[in-house]
Amino acid sequence: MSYEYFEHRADIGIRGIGENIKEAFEQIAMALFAIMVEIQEVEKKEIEKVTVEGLDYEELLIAWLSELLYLKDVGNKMYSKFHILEIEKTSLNAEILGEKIDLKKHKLKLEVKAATWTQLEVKRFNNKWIAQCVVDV
Amino acid sequence: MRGGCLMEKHEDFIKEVKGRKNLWTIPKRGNMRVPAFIYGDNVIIDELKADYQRDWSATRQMINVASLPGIQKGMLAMSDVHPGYGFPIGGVAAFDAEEGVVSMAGVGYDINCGVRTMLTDLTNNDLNAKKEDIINELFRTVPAGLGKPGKVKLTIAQVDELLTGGAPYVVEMGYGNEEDLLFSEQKGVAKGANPANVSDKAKRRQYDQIGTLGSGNHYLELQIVDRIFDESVANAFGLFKDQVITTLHCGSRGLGHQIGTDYSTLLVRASKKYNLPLPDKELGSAPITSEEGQRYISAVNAGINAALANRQVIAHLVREAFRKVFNVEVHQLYDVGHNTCKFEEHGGKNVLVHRKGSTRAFGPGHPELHSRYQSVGQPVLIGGTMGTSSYILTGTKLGMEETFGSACHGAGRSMSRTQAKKKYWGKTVIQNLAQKGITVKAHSFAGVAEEAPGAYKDVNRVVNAMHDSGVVKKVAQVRPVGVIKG
Repeated sequence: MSYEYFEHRADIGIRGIGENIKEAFEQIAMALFAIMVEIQEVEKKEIEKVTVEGLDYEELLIAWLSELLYLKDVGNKMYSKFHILEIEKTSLNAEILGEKIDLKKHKLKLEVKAATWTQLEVKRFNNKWIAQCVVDV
Repeated sequence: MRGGCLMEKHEDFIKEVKGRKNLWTIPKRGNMRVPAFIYGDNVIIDELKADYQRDWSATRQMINVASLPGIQKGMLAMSDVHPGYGFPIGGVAAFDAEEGVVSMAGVGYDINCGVRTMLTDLTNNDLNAKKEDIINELFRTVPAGLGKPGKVKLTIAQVDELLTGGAPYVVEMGYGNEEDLLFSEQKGVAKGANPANVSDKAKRRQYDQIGTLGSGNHYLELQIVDRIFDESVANAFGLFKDQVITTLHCGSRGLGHQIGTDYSTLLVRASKKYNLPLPDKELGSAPITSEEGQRYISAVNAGINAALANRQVIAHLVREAFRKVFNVEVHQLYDVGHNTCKFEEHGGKNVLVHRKGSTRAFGPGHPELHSRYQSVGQPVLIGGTMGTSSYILTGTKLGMEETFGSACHGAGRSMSRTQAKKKYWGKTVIQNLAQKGITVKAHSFAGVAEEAPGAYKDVNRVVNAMHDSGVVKKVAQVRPVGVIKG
């Protein structure tokens, strides 16, 4: 399992790759936060539960990434570990770990505004699962 | 391939409009209800043609938008056109208020992102001795970048008041003055905002983000008026050569992003419900008169107000900094939004004008303009990059007739952020700009690399193409001497 970025003219494409859909969703969340912060500097101090829903995997992916962006804003936090406990086509439950932003400790980078429907895909590819979309920065 | 397979070569369908400079058209074809019109010179059009061959294409997005019900006259692209989310950036589309649709793609995720320019009576000579002082003071007082809360903390009830109250609400709290409101679009407040149609999540993201710049392409610049093109309009605007002015570029922050996110899903569902064309997943829309359409429009107005209030608070901080360092007052030239949809009257008809990366550019005589700008048209503020010029233009009568009173908004990226980071190194960019007399203060070096001037198109070309078309007129060119980035 891994994550990667793909080219996009104005913004950034993010992609999570895993043995199963759960891993793909966990990895794309890593890709999302690695845009904003040096992710290894974020300690796994606090744990939060996340539940989101959607009509299909694509809506679910948008809901998942959007929820993480919302939580980092309202909690003034960054996250570095995403553990999906359950995932179905229309809902997922997860635990996420991270800590409050500390400007002395964290090297903050670019803020992500939103996860978009552009190049949004959740699919099986070469025996792996991939989850991807372009994020607006 | 996204957005419908059109296999002909571009040469076959982008045509020059005869007898007009820098105006091109894509005649009606396929599902298009109206033609498309593009403002640009040969280089801009060639880039657009090359772009058509790519998976991510502004031309195809224009064709898609032109297929939506109720679109009036034409899908318009300004000279800074490049691919966006569903709509091209630099795109303008007006829809019949009764028969038309509203699309979230035509506004984007940063609702009412815009530009505010403020003027001082200082000249370049006055600035020299204290340039570093003012830049340091601005950097210290204006929150920018990730993880920087604003100075105004709001309760949830206050957020609701702000969403309907806009800039006047924060002026009432002591951030700014009445004059600021007179020199803002819509006098600093959009009517028709309904906080009930904005999610609690969006509101919670607003608690401590009012008065913050954000990151990405947002900035606060200290600028010098380098060149005046039109003395009489410059006089009306209060601009003179070598004048010190300041410009800020930012939007509605987390609140606007959350409204965009919430309604992107809702409008994709609405497209299916009302059987509207959905050639691109990003191009969700709803009939303007439908419940979904009305809800979205009222949420956009709330987002517009959040952005106006946000820029108002930052303007106040800038004003305080100038008082402290120079003991002078700054006066507002104008505040313009470039990601909006607004009901306006054009040609005697009520239309919903979407401007995605496009600045409103009302011409002389428009009833909404302040008396000082009545005879010359509104100031149109065009942002460049950290190393290049910005422009102040004015609206024209032709623009009112052809583009629903709209113009370009900036340079537009020519290189992806990933490419820019590979090519440029943040510290080197800052050193190179310092040699050109431009001081950059940034919270993130990576951010600076991504925003390197070389990663953008040539703003001079973009502005000249627009000016030569007659839709707007150049008034002044300004250059940055200090830049604050998130």
